[in-house]
Amino acid sequence: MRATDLLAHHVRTADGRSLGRVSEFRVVQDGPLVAGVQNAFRIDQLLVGRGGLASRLGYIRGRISGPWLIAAVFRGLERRTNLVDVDDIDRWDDDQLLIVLKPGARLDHPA
Amino acid sequence: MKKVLGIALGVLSAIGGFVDIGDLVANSATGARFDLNLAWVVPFGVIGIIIYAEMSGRVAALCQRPVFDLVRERLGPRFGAGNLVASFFINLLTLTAEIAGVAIAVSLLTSVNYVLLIPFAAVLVWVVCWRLPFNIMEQVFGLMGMALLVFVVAVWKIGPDWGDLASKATHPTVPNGETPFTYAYYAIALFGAAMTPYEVFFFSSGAVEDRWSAADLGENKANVFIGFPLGGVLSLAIMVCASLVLAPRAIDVAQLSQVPLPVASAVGRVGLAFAILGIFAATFGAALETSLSSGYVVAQYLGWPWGKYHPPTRASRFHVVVLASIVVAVLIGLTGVDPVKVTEYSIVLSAAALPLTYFPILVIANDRRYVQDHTNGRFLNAVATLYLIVLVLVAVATIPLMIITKGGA
Amino acid sequence: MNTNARVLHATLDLLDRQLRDRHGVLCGNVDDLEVEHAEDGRLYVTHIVTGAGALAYRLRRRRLGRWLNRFSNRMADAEADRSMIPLVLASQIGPAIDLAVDAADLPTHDGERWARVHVVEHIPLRGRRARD
Repeated sequence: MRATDLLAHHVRTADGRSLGRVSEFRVVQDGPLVAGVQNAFRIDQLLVGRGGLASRLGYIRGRISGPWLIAAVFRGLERRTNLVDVDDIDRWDDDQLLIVLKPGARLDHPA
Repeated sequence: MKKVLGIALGVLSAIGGFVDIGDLVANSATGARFDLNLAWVVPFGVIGIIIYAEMSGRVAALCQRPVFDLVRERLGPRFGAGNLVASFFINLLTLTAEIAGVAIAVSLLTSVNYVLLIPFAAVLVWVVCWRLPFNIMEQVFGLMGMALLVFVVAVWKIGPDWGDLASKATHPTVPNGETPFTYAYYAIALFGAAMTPYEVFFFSSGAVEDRWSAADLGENKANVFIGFPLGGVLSLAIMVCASLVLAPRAIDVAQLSQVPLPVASAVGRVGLAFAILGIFAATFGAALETSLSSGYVVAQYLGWPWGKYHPPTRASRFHVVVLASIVVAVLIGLTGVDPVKVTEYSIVLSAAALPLTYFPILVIANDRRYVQDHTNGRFLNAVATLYLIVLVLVAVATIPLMIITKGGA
Repeated sequence: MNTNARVLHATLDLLDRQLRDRHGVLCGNVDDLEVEHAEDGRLYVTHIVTGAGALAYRLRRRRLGRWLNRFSNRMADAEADRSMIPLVLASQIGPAIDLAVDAADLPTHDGERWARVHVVEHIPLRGRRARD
């Protein structure tokens, strides 16, 4: 699947609440060695909700702090974004572009 | 001497941006119609372009990423594509007008119909684009553009009441016979002319072409703090000349050929020759900027190798796009369409591109991964954000104003 | 999670980045990424995808994208999909992404070659290769 496809999936909790679309995902380079060269890049977290532009620009996670006004606008959006652990994914529905989470999945906000 | 030549990029960017055919006519027309009541827009625009050009030059020097690269990277491929289409057409329309402007400048000296000279002008532009090294191009046309200082000489020779000029410039009103809408329309036209996106495309790509690095941040500042105010001074001089000579005679400026009239009357034939040389250099410089920018925006969006410093055999697609846009510009120009009208339409498209172009620059200039320790200070951020808000307002207001005033009639 | 491992965000650090080959030649952008479910049930980003086909797919013209990709591979007589670059070949990920490949092996350079052979070579004043 392409990143484009992954970013088109909607995410729903086990009890049916819609969290929005996957807007970004985080990758950690701690997978098994590939071709003896480098570790594989494992996806460990999905950002779901409205933080797409904010994270693409770099305002989520406080990577960029200025200008003040723009950062403040995007910080407001952080509250409407959820962080989902990939381990909390119950099932994928690739026809409907839907990801359903396990019950009791922990939802964080990007701090 | 090298230090002096080092500001050539800024000077050329300014000349091609501030006193291209559209601005030459707009500044002259504004001076003739509104006297000095719109003079404040020029320094206001100069400050805006200084701020954003410095940021884009800084980013280009520190990580070799020019503006259009960043537009796609930070706004995504879809907004990037929208900006690409708008910017490409602005460049194309402007290029058409500039090549016509070069032809008009030559026709003022030779009395040949300018339409016949268009292909000749286009070939000249193309030869310079493909073969003249970037730094020589900067220096030659930057220097030649200084001939426009004859407008400053003309103002001085007319010997106006400086106190009166100053008071008129600092107490702007909407003059009789004009409405707030036409006032706002011309204010936006002048402001948009100062901050046309191709100025930063050219300046930041030029910084990469000139191989600027962290050691050149001072040179970056010199370029923007000298080059763009110089462009502003030339703009104002043209406006003042028109207000002193043409306004009292109720002469309306609509053609490039009318722009040097005040110089002819105040300084005589030698002055006129300088003015025409300056106009030739300015329109030629703008033609170079816009044809190269056509290549820059397409190549940078799609990730192709780009740059004048690559010969055409090394960055083939880039050079082909540059050549193709010159060819299309010539074909449009040969239809005899009025080049000044063409630039007016490009203003409308500019409105869409302005915020989308400048917003990513402001963001990146705050991102340590691109500019390391040279992020924006708080004061700069505050002023830059203010200008961004103004740009958004300008973008929103342009089309309604164009409709209400019927194109500034 | 190994705290020393590199952490990246897809749209922030990877997507739409400029690619450079091992000689520093610009060779396209990261138009998309390929994500795979591994047998251990985990998700891995395995490839950078670049090229006109990939960009078309990214802009939601999926069928056009797939067709362009097939066309480009067929034109180059390639067996493997040249638009897919294993992510582990990225030696540096920063304002640009440096790849341990040659630009000539990537689909983006077909256009470059075509433009040079069919247009530039027929035009005078094209300059020599020697100058850089």
